[in-house]
Amino acid sequence: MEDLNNRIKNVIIESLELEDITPADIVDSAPIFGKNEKGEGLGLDSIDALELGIAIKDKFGVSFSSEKEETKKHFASVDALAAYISEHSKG
Amino acid sequence: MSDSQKKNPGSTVDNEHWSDIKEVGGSLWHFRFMLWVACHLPLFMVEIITAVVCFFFWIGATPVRARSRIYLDHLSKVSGKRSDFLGTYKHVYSFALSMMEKLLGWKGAISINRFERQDDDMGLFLDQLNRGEGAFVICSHLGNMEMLRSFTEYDGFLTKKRFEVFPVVDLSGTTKFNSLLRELNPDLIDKIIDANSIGVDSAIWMKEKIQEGNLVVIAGDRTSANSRNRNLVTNFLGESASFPEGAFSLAGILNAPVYFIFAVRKKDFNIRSTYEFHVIRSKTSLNCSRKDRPERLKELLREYTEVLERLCVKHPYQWYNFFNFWEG
Repeated sequence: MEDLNNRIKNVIIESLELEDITPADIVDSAPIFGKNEKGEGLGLDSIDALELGIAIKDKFGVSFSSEKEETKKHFASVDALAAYISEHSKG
Repeated sequence: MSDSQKKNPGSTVDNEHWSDIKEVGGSLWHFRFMLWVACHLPLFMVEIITAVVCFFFWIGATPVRARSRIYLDHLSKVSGKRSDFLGTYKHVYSFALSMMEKLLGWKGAISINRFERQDDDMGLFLDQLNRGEGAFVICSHLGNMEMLRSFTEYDGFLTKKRFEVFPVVDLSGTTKFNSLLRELNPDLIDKIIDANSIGVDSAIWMKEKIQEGNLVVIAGDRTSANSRNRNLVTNFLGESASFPEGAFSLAGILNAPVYFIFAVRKKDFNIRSTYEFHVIRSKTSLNCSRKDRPERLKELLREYTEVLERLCVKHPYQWYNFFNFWEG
């Protein structure tokens, strides 16, 4: 699980070219898009989301539901994304 | 006339957003009547009936005349040609003809003999499709957007390989007209990607469709109804105007070859006219670091508006944005 979280963080950093950020800087439970009340989170926007979605799909071979709210949940945090990928990944 | 018309209270012609303007045409039977006219009468009679109906509409619709005038005045500053008193009528009439065209187009393909190739990137475009490579197409509310789709029905004539066209459309403003289109051709409306609900799933899907050799098409000259603040601003017909950031950003995200495609009636007021089919390949490379992307997208937008301006000057009455494009 820990390993998957790190791989996800690397995909986020590479696909969005977040130059000043290392995997250790990303809090597993913090929001990927926007920020939470503690000010944690990457603060990415909806266009970043599309790009990240494509990168995640290419890397892990998972597809996402067309139910927006559903997909939003999976992109809530690195933890949530890892849970979704480990459940749906084909390989 | 599904696109424009009545205003919401509180907004003026100057500052309204296009999505504030409600669909005109009280009930579906208006559109059914249009459809009956389009299908059962000879085309010259369709033109006459449309001209008469439009005349009365034009007399009554003051805001529409005002919006049309704003556009025509911008245009005449650039082209140097004054647009006369009847200019706004011609604009409305041309738009009504385009609605008729659209209905006819959805009923069946428009004859391939009516496409007129231009001296542009059409060859490049067809080669690309024949190699099984798709593309991202930015079109416009200029001319007839349906023509590109009609292309898919000429298998073996233009391209050896079959391909499909998937338009990204905001359907929220024209529900009545859409329901008629759905009746005419349910398969086609199912191919439409709803611009209001683009998410991770649809982005992935679009990318796959392009990789399979198909076209994803979006209009570049109408800002998003949902995210009105996400605009790119550039000079268009002499004054700065807003364009949808999303449409151009999609080009960057999908990272596919980008084409600008426009089909306009060669004779502005004749629905039997041949169509000038303009295909221009964008020269802007979007294969760059994300840091450089905003600058590249601006460049892409500049290329697009240059072509659009040129064609608006050539066919002034075939640009169908009946709202103040230069608001704010």
